[in-house]
Amino acid sequence: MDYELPSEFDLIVVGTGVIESIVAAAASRIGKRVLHIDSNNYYGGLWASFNLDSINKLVTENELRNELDKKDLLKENETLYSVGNNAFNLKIQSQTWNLPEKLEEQNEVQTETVDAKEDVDVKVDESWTQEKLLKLSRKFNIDLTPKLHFARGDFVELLIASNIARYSEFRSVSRVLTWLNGQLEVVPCSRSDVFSSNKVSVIEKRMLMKLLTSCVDGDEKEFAGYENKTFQSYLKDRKLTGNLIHYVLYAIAMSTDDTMCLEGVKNTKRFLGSLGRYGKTPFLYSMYGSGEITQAFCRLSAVFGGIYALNQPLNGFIFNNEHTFRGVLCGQQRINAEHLVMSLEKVPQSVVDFSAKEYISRAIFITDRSIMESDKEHLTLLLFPSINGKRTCTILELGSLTGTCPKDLYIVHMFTKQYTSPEEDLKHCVEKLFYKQEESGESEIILPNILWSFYYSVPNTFNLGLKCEQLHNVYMCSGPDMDLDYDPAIAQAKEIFTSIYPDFEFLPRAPDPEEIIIEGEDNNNVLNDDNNEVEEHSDNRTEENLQTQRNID
Amino acid sequence: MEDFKFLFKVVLVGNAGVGKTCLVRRFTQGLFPPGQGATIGVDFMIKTVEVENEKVKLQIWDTAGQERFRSITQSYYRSAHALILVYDISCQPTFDCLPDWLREIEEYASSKVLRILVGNKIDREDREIPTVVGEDFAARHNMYFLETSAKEAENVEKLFMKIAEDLMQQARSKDLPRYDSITTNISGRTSSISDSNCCSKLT
Amino acid sequence: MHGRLKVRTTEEQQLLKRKEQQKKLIAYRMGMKQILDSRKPVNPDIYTLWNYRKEVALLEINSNINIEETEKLSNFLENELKLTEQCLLANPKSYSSWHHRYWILEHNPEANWKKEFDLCTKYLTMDDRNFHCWDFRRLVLNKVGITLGDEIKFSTDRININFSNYSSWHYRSTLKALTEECVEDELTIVKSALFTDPADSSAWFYLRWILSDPIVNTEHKEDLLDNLNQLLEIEPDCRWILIAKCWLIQDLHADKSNYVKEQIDCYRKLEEIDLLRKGHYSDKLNKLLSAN
Repeated sequence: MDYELPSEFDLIVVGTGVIESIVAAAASRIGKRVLHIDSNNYYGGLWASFNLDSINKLVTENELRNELDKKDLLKENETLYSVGNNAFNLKIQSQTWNLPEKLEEQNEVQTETVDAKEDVDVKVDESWTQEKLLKLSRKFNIDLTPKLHFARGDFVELLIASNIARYSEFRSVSRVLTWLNGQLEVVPCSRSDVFSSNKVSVIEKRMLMKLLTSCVDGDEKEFAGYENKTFQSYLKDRKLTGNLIHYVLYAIAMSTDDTMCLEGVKNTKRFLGSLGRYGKTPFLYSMYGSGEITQAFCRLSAVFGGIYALNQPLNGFIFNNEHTFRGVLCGQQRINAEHLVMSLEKVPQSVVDFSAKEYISRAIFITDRSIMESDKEHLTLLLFPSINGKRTCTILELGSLTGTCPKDLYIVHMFTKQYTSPEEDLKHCVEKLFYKQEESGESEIILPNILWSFYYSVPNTFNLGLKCEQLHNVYMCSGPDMDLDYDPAIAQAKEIFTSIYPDFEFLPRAPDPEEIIIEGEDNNNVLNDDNNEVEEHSDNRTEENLQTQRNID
Repeated sequence: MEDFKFLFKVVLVGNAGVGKTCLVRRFTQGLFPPGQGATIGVDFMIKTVEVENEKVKLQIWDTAGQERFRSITQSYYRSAHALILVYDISCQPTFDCLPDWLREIEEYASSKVLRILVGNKIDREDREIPTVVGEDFAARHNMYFLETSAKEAENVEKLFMKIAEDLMQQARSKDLPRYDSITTNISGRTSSISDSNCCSKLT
Repeated sequence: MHGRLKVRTTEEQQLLKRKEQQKKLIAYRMGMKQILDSRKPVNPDIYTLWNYRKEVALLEINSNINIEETEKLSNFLENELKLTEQCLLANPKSYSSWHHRYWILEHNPEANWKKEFDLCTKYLTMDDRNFHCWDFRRLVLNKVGITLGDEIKFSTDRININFSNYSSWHYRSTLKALTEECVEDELTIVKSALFTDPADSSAWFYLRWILSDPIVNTEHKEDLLDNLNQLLEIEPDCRWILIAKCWLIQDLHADKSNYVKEQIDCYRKLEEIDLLRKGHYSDKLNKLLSAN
């Protein structure tokens, strides 16, 4: 690009993950000069969405830079720190096609796969090939970090309150499933679900409704004596049947056998409180993928004057002798700023004295039919409970109506806390959903075929308590977390914003275009009766207005 | 209920400095803002026009400066009904970049989006791109073509009216990308969604 | 840098709004004038005007009936339909507009009943509480070849989405007479509603309608009484359960003394929890006590 970046800012944000983008938006919104850069040529970092072609070519290593020959741009008492580290990268375990490359070579390739894989009897719909899928590459928006939004959660409320909602569209999750007694079951989550479910008896309907009501409305008395007991024991004492306990504990409260009672109640409230706002379930999903979310915040930042530059590798961070942030080296240019906010993976290697203690096992599949077929396309959340010592898994199935994959295909996301490896941790879910089981050999259900699979793990850096003790005016943003929604991300962004700008409101409502007065359009003009006439004179006034405007600046 | 029957989202792209903002402001406010500098805080401009006695509301989105370092968000292109690609007839590089812009449009915008190529600044004496070259490029890429001057208000009204008319016609023949049928609006108000197959927009 | 963005103050906004309103008022008055000029009813509930239109329509129909110009007539009728559409947009619960629409359709030999029926489906999906539309649907139903099964399914779907709706339960009750085969199903669906939310009155009315049908036999009723007792155990303070229990006991065991006692208990409880209707329950009690 021929344009040169301005060289003075209030805040430089490096990396376009969700937290970084929210901070950038909030700072621009209150009139701070923000430079937001990313070395990638796409928005979102580890929170991005990719088309099929790009996700296959995903680069996970950071290019580390420290160009010492630029020393002449430094002042006497300043030091240059390198940019980036490789301590928090995404780790790809495997990326596999279960499809022939092209139709002609089908026979050849199939024999190859037979050799490589033990599942010989997996028959793939012959019409799909790698070539065909890659031709549709752009119809895919595959999330690295898929998220759902509670209809009354912090995220949705923030979007509405700040008027950022206008940049995105959402689809409601149409069903919540669980795995019960060896098969998939729809979880009755709303009043009408409970009514229409034929899986629960009439007495169970009443018991379930009564329990849900008392979780929402119940005061301390209701849960007295359960402070040190599990949610499961509370449910058992309420004389709920086994199936009902399963629905409430594993699905609605998204809990486990060990979850404490009050925690379970809190989760239940979070779920039920978001019902009835936008659809049949409490959840929304962002159209075209979760990667759109960071972009919405970046757009707001840009609208309020934030400068955006993707594909812009930095050559170093500049600090003075007191370890206070001074600026960055960007190409041949020195750019000064007061504060620095950056993604964890951009933190100088020399400063990283901590490492991820926990990883998230993730998998993405492209399949040729839904895990539970129905007469219409569903957007499904499956909460897979812990079985046989395996941890609970969260599974999301997206169809073409979400704008994330072509027609007749589905994208399935799975994630869980890492125990051994992504493939190992998720194996039991994959087997149950995609491979026929021996004992139910006679069942007529046709299971989906996996056409493409991608196993990877990302560090869960959320609870690292990121504080940069040795450097001043520097703030680090953690990567993706395990939460279903963005609640922890929003909390962290808000915390960073408040520590930089303690006296300012966090993302106040952005005005609608109708409310804004633009130079040249004076109050009197607007209120004048005949608009056309006024516009004749307004050109003269524009100059003056612009002048005053600049003076204020 | 607001008093318009159709609402269309029109987005502008093209290199920095080709006059995108000026085109929008000339059309929506009837003025030509002198000097540079993006208007802070303005997301899009609205103008309601009348086509065949029907009120059509055009929501015109500008790039918010993100084009300067090729950093336009993909979401900017989503759910656009029409896309105006602008170059400066007195500046060859802005024309040379058109294929890059087309690639981006192909990638992120709906395939049904109405595309218009606009050569702006015809008031300038130092033309570098002859009209026929622009015309030719537009024809090859199946775009409608127009040369304009935001400064002299030439063809600006015509440009947007043409868009409104075309989109109306498409809407009537149901050939428009139908975003509404699949999305939900999220708003502060509680909306009761029955059994809709729909998605939402939070407004 | 702060304050670069100028936003209108509330005062300015109000001023603007007032101006907007004035503009709208003028536009409105102009519109009114146009409407009155073309003698279209401004208030869709002035039935005299609708009747006048019907007379004009009859003239039009009779004068065109033998002529080849069917297009002219169908245009005329189509315009009448459009008019009712406009009126229904303004007031979706206008009796006269709904009636006029049906009347016009009936007088049109080429009426597109299927389209009308689909419109009903669409409308009810958006607002399932407009009983006018439910009634209209019932009329239209007879004109299109929809199977009873499909219509029952539509009704079930609407109820599944929201069972707190008198209109959809009532519509269901008009669809068919209960038969041996379906009575179980109907009892199941209504029980589901009662148990899901016993405080919601709509399904209790549907239950009362089912019970009024002689096809519901003693066995059904005994079963139901058992269910109600179970429900009462969980929800001892719900008046609807107590009332329904009294219906059933009265019906099944009017003169058995132990059941009379149970009825008396129910009414005593009702007196306590439903003060608004205390007199009614006392009256029932007195009758029971004096009879035994």
